[in-house]
Amino acid sequence: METNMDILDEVVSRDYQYGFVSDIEQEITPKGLNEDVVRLISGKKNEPEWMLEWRLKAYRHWLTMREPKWPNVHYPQIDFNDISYYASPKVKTDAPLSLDEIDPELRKTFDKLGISLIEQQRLSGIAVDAVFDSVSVATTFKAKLAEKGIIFCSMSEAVREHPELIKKYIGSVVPVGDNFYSALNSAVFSDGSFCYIPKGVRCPMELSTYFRINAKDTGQFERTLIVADEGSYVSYLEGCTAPMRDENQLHAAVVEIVAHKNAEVKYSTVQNWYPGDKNGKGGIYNFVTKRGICLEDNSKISWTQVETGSAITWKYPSVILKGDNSIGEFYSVAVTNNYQQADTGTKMMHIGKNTKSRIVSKGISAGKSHNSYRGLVKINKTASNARNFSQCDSLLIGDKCGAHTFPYLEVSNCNSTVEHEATTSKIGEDILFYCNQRGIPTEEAIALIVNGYCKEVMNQLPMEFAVEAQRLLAVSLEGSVG
Amino acid sequence: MTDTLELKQRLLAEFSTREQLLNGSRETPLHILRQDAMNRFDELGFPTIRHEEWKYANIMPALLIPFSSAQPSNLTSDEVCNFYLEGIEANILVFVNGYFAPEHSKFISSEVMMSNFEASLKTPIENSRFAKISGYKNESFTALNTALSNDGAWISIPDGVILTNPIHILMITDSREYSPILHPRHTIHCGDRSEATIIYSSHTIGENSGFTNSVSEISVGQNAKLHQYIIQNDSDLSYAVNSSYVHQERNSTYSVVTVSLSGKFVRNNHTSKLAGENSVANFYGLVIGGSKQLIDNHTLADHSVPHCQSNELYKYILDDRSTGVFNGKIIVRPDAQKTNAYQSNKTILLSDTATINTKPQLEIFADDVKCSHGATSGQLDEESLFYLRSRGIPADKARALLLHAFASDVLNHIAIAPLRDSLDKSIATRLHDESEIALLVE
Repeated sequence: METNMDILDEVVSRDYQYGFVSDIEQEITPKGLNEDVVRLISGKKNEPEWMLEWRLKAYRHWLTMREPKWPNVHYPQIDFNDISYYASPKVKTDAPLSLDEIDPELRKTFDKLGISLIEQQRLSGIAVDAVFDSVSVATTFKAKLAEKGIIFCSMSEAVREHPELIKKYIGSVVPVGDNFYSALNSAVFSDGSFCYIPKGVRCPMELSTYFRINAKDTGQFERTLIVADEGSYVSYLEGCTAPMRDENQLHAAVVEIVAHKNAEVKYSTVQNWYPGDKNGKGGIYNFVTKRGICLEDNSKISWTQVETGSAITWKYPSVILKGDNSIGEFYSVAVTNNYQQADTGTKMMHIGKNTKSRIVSKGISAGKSHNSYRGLVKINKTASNARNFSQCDSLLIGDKCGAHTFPYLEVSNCNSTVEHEATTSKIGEDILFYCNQRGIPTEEAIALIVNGYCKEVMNQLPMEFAVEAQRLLAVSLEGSVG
Repeated sequence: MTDTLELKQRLLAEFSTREQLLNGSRETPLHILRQDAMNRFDELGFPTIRHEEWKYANIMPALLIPFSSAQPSNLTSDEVCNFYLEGIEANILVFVNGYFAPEHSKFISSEVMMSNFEASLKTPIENSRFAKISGYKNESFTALNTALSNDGAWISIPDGVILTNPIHILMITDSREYSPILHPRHTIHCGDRSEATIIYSSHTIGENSGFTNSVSEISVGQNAKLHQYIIQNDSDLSYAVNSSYVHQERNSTYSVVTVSLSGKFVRNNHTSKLAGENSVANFYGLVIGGSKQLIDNHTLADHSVPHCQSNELYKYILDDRSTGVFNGKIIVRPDAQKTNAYQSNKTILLSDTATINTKPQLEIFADDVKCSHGATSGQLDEESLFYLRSRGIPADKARALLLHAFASDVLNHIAIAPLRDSLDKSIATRLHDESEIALLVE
């Protein structure tokens, strides 16, 4: 028992390693939300008139909506007028920056986060679009991608330079009034990434966005849009961190993916927003809408997520399988510790014939946290021969936490096959004993077992992310033995 | 919308009419409780599909039917005896339109107290037990039943009594002249170390709709065993909401097999609270859905103490335009360590217009547990069909055989052979392969 206490003490003294604050001169709009703020954000971005109209439409719709109460999470009422909706590092012009022009302080921040933009460019060959608070600060490898006709830039740039694409696709997967937070995002989204892969192009490198919340009392609302044209392929990574603060901060993002005929999009997330301290104080509210559509035949969208951060997570990356023979996948590891709450899962909507979906969800709850899986598999009448397999397992560590599963299966087609299975258990004493007996301390043994338990999902992650994710998993669970 | 209000208003009015007839007994604790329940119903109203628990079961169309309060009806013994179970020597409690019909009932086990709800309320002890297990705060139909129920079965099995003959509760709705709405209330006590089997069957005579809103309160004492078989065989115009609430003591076993054969709208809520260590709850169900039926099974295994076990197996065979709903919930409360809970829902869809909505749900607050659930939906296995056909069994017969095998997983939990056989036959009839399966069964 004593060793366990030592471990606990050690962990208590350990900090969230990304919890620093960068001292950067920032431009922040006053708190509160009204039409003027929406106009202001749109103005700052030099957006065309149609974009402003679109935002205003979303804002007006948002006013008529109520906050959803159905998720299995509990938090105090959010005052939407006590948040700043726009914060950006102060720069001379709003023009896209070249890497050399970035504020040295900002560069340091990203270095600390382990994404030295220049280095990463050279070594790992991943194109990065970094979003700091509300604004995209740097996009690497742009020229190289442009050679292939790939567009990878910040959303505000895309609105100005590729209006025809944005007009066509924005809001086509997640409509303006889809839900409370997506409507809010549509009204005030400040930036994000846009990515277009032209016909028949296989993107030569992993594309990546890094999100960072820095400013106090701000909300971050970014919007990502990925369009994969006929026969193209792209793998996209997303990472995020935030400083430690006692107040809760809101993050409401929207990600839309469109896959055309024979196209494949792979979207991986390692979400590590600040989860709050061990008493549940502070942390990010992560309310995210992610949805992809397999618009045409033989397309494929795959979501992989490793969720370790955020005080509250509320997200359901979904796939609408519209094209015949299209495939949707969802691989998820969600870890909650201390007072974290997660309500996450997926939706697979089968519309086209011979569509397939696969769901693998691994939930791990420790401490006093609650982890829920909520998923929907809907097989429409038109989806002949549709196939779904879902597996959601929960692992409980400690007797104060909770693990919940809410799967919804709706089948209206007699040629389809749907299978769902779920288990809940704890780490077997015998397995732990086996490890101990061979000289592996309990803490390490748990990390080992958990990593093995999540392997199916981890295998789906690109190399660079898999290493980070494994480390994160071990860190998130430290001290949960007790 | 105004129409649904009307039924609610009529029910509220009925309650006040009854209240006026009470005279002196208006101040009794029982009536105060009923009044509270009626107020609760008034607040809750009928559930809409925006209510999470009623998401897939739309009761609204039923509320447009001009139901009126069920009145006692005299049936001839010929009409009743059709529904007696063949080959089973059982105690029979007959209820017509929800009212006890002693002239048709039969008592053979003298060691058990069997009576009706109305009579039982005359004893203070029953008075104090009323609505203790079921509660009525959250479910509007239970609140409605609590306020308006005036009859039903009352069974009390004394400590240590092992009942050899089953008890058959036979519910007959007479809808020949009007569309009755009834609120039967059943109370079953199983004393410590007792064992009993209760068969519950429901039927309709007549061409009008009927609405049954029944509530059962069941307590199973220490080391007691209760087996319940529920056969739902109402007409295709009838609506039913059946809620049963079970309270289990230490080392007790409660098993229920629900076979839903017909009825336009059937909603079953089975709740078992495992309140004593080492108790076991088993829920089994078979649904044969056809035409435009909607059959909804909601189960809740509430594990509040350690070392308990619950098993659930629900199988659905859905044809035509029928809809099946399964919502199984397992709650493991913080102290309920060493819980084992299993749940499984399997469906075969026979037509493209049939739908299954299933939601197996786990809510777990303890770590040392083994809980799992599985749900599948599909069609008959092509390979099995091929295997049978390659051995000379015609396609339709092979299909019937496989469906029969699918259903037998649930039916095998019925320990009374004559009952099982007669169900086998009715299921075969329902699946349009009477001759085929009847032969196989014999």
